Amino acid sequence: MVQLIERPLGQGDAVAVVDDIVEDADLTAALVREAGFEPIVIAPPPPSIERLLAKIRSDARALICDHRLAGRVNVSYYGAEVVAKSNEFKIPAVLITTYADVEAYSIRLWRSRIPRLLRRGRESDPDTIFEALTQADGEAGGRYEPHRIAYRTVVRVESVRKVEGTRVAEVVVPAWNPSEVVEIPVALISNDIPNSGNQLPGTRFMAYVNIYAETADELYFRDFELAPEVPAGWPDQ
Amino acid sequence: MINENGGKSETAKGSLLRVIVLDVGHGNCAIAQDGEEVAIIDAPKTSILPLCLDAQGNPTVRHLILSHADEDHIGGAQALLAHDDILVKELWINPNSRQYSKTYLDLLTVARDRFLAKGLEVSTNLNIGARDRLSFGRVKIEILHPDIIYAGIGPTVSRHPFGQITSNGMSAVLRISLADDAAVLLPGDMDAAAFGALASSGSNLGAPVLVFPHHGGSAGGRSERDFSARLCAAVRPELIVFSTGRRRYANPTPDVMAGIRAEAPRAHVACTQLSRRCHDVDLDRTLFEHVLTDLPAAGGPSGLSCAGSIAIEWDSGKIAYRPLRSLHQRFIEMHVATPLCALEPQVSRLV
Repeated sequence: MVQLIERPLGQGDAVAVVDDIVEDADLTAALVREAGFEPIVIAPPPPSIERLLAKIRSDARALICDHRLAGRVNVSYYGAEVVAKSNEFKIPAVLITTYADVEAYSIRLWRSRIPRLLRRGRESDPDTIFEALTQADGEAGGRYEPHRIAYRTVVRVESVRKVEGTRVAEVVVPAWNPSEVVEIPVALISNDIPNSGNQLPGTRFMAYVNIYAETADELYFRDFELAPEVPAGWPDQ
Repeated sequence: MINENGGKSETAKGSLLRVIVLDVGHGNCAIAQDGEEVAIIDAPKTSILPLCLDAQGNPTVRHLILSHADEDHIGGAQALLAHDDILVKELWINPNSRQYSKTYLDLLTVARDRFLAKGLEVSTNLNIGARDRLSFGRVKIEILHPDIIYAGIGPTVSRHPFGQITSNGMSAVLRISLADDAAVLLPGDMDAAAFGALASSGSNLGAPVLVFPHHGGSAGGRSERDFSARLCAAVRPELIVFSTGRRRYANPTPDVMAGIRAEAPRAHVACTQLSRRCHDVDLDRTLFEHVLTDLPAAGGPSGLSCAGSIAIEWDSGKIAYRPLRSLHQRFIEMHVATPLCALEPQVSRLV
């Protein structure tokens, strides 16, 4: 039996470039090549995420994937899910997008397994791509940078609102920043605690959060549990 | 008499005996250390505290002591309690019915979570009744305030028969000795009324190092000058530290400094960060990364520090501190236009 020897991602390794727009894929591929890797363009992606992941696993050593994949073709998944699942398979992957802000909720759902989010244009130069893929490769090997390590802490829900069909909770993570509200999809909570969605405002949860993240868009949340309840007041006689 | 200590302590890491006053910007944070064990007194939001602990190999935190529930003293406690690498054995905090902030309730929620997980002891009696329960190894931590009566009553509103006891008035006042030598007085945000109560108790406040209360801001009494003069007379400090942030507030106030110079004219005054009162324009951080010791400092990388973090160390029977007064003085003479800490009143010497 052949034993595979794990080695760090390096120059010349094949990196899959996934995008629904061929021109954008080619542009990213050129940057990936300049970063020292061998780009494998997959554009447009197949309708099934399983097929896409199988192709990545067979052809590439790493992945850089666009987030909005349904723009030009009929796919039912986002790039964030592809990147997260690829990292689960230990194929280092990073996300690239022009829509980091408007797609914040769909990205946040998978953020725990997205080591780096690259904003197309200002964060997609060859050096940054190399750095990002190296960081993802480190996480695949269990080496996390301090700002990517999650700790169990309090997450307090301030309010809930609906944004273009998505229920969004405005939460505070006091251990990260007690005076800044962060928006997360309610699904992140209700996936862990079914039926928690109706009485969220004012509720405190314990969850794992990377509290040393520098910016709000780096924050990720997982493993929500209801925190011990704070009494609303002294009981009536 | 304390000595200045220019270099690193020669004591082996395993037996380091010291108190570090961290430059955390506006806020307070001190670490009392005896070898592999520490007590942390106040934990504002800062990455410097975990960084400093990490540099020490993450010693066991015997006590996390929160003098009172203001944000600039507790804002980083949750992060510390969340940390997997840092073992906090016991949290000390006083009840405070006036402090009904969400952040405070968040902290109590975390404390209860950790308590239920059996990992954390929680004590809500940070008053003189706890006697010497904070002491460990060669570190002696005395709780001088609040007294049992005041602690039993807690902060009050103005219509209370006792009158108004503020949150700052109930701030714990701690005196730390290293190997039986008095080293540092940590009064948190003690105000003038609390000092009055403490002074009338007959407690010994004497310490060679005073971390000035409330960052050198208002103490709420009739006269800041009188307050600081009376405090200096009671403590008799040789080094007075102001734990200040350049970006928030312009502390210490001139009145506070006037009181200090009236009662402790030769004392070394050291602010962790450079006060805007002393130099109103930011120093050009591209010229130098100003750090006077090897200790992490919040203002170091950004050029905001004045003295930066300060270490008070016990070595061979002597209390010493760093950075050196002469080193600090040289920095001030070279870069600071109107230093409040100057021994003589002076006009700007810098162009």
